[in-house]
Amino acid sequence: MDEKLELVRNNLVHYQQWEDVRVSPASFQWEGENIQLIIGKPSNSEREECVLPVEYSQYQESLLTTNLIDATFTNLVSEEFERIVLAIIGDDGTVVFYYITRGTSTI
Amino acid sequence: MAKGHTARLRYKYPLPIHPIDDLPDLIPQNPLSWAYWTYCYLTKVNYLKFRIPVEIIGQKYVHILVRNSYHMQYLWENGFFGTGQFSRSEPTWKNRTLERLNIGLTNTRINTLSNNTIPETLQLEEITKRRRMLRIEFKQQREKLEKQLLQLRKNNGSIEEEKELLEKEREMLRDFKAKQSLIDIEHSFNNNERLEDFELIDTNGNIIELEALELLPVEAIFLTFSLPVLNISVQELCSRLVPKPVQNIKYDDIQLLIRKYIVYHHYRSRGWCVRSGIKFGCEYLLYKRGPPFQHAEFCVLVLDAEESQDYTWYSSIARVIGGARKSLVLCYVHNELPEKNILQLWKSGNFTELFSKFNVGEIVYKRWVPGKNRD
Repeated sequence: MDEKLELVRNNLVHYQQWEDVRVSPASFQWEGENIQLIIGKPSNSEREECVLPVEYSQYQESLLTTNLIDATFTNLVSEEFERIVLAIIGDDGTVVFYYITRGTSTI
Repeated sequence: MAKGHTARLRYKYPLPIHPIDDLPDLIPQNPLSWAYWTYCYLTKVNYLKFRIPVEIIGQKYVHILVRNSYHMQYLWENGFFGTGQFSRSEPTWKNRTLERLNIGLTNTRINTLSNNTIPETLQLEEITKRRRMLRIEFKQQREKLEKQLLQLRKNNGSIEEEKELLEKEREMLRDFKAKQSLIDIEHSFNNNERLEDFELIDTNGNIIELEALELLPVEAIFLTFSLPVLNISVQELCSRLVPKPVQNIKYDDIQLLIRKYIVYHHYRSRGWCVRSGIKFGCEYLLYKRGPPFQHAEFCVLVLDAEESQDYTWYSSIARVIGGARKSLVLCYVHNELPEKNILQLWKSGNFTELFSKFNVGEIVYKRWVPGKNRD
């Protein structure tokens, strides 16, 4: 498990108190970084969420683009999930979470 | 205000340099006291007597970690440096977890306190969580009463009846709010141990120190370049932050880091407590004193002096920040030297010269509503 997966996994399990948290085995490479999802259930919720950890730095280009989100939905997110939870890791270890919904394709 | 008093004592020093304020009494007619005073004056120092080691992990995106709990506490208490990886800001994860798993701590003290006092043992995160639960509980109660009102309107109730019900509703909600307390809400918590909690306990039954204090790259530079705190040289630190062979480094690799550091240093040296603004979509948050004392007043965006963005870009960030009741500061960094000289100074490791070649200018961006803001 690389640093970002470990940090977000521990954040979900030991800070946010999520349940059944596991790292999904599927992955792909994106600009030299490993992209992999974490799946788990938020406390007081019945529904499982897919979490995408991405690092963010104050002084480097971010990996996070709409292309990456598209590729993640195509390659990793199964049909049952309507949305993913984006976990952005700041460079002081703070993790901020945002929902991204799959959206509809028009063509 | 006992709480404010304790905080002022605990966070006595705004930075990890302390004035020498504990010299012995000087008694003019006693020569021995002169000798002792001089000895103390000469031997005391105002900086940290040891250097704090850091662990730097990761390749492209580095994480600068402090693992020793005493060092973590020292950096937090002397200027609010770093963030606990599993905490909102102060590294409190260990104590929260000990409390949650009921190891070593008892809750008896909490229960003996009166309704409106916040127990001292509660961590900030816990208090926020309980406040949120109280708010949810209150809203549910209000919803119930509003349904009654709706029902009355559907049944064509008279205005008098409606007034009466509204009056009753207000009173009931007032009573409900008065009865709510931070202590009682605790009982509805689910404190069951989970399977994952066992990985936190070592073979001796002690809790594992899972949480480290993580420093922003600019914090780490400040703590080694400006203050002698970290056990790493600024040259070594910068070579880890930009992990490329020196001859291959381009201006684009270093310009953002320099710009962010210039602004960080600018506010730190003017007495502000500067922390990451990632939660608000900006670079930094400025606190007058620090997070335990008050909310941050300003959000800082760091920009190049020549930088110009589409108007919607400024307005959307300003709106988010205005919603959090903070003011947006646009901080422009101007560079006096040509790029190749900056690059040369970086490569030669002459950071004092390098950082002195930048100027900072600021603009406060504020939304103005003609009907509301008359001044």
